[in-house]
Amino acid sequence: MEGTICFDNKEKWSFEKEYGFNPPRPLGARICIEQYVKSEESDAGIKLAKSEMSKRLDVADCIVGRVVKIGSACFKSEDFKHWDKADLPEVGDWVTFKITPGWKKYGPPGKGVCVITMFDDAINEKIEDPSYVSRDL
Amino acid sequence: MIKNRSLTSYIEDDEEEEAKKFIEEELGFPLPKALGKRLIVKIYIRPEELTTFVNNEGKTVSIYIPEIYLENDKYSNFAALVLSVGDQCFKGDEYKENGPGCKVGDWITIARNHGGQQYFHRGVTVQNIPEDAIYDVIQDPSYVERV
Repeated sequence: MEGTICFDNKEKWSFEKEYGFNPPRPLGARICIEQYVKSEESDAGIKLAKSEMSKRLDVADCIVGRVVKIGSACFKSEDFKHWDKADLPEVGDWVTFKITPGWKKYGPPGKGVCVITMFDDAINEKIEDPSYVSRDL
Repeated sequence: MIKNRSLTSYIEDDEEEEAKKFIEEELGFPLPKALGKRLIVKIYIRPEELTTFVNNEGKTVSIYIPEIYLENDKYSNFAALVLSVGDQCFKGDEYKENGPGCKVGDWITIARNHGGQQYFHRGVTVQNIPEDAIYDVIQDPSYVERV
């Protein structure tokens, strides 16, 4: 999933349109995020093969993703009272978040997408391009 | 016109009774009753038969998942079928806009370590969970796989 940039919702993105099946529907103040997968091709066009273990580590280390679905009570608590409305993420936006356990593969066999459902307060910020961010250990 | 008072449930309002009856018929006993802010859910266990195909000799071959893997599903799967919703569930402010988070017959994903208790109810693996142990409502339990 190396999709288009949806900053400021220039382009309306939906999980259903992209993958052809419904995303998980998070409850309450939870938000569902899809993992950002870095391109396996270098700038020079060389394909870098990744091992299964490396892919798993990427999931565990992931701090960037795309908003897939937002629970009805998200971003409505006191914590977000002072946030500018334009800063609140919407479906299709790229966001950074705190490292959270609970990644799952979701989708029909062979079409699974790595997603996670987390509380809204785990979201750090909306970003323009997911490739700009990587984790600094 | 089909109505659904919930934004997340896949069960329409007029299908609620039908869903309960269908599950009762499938399980062969009346559904247990959850109390207060708790729900009773049935843990999803994959069907024993993985696939069926016809081989070169024209024989139908079925591949079955070994029993040990299915046993493991009971203790590791986090997809579950809602069997009963307590009468105080989904009454908080969180659910004001959403309506009931899920209804009997919905498939959900749950936090396995969030105050739930697992036991057998008439031989079926169920968990009694608090309402905030639900992550999300999903379309199909076979879509979910732990990473």
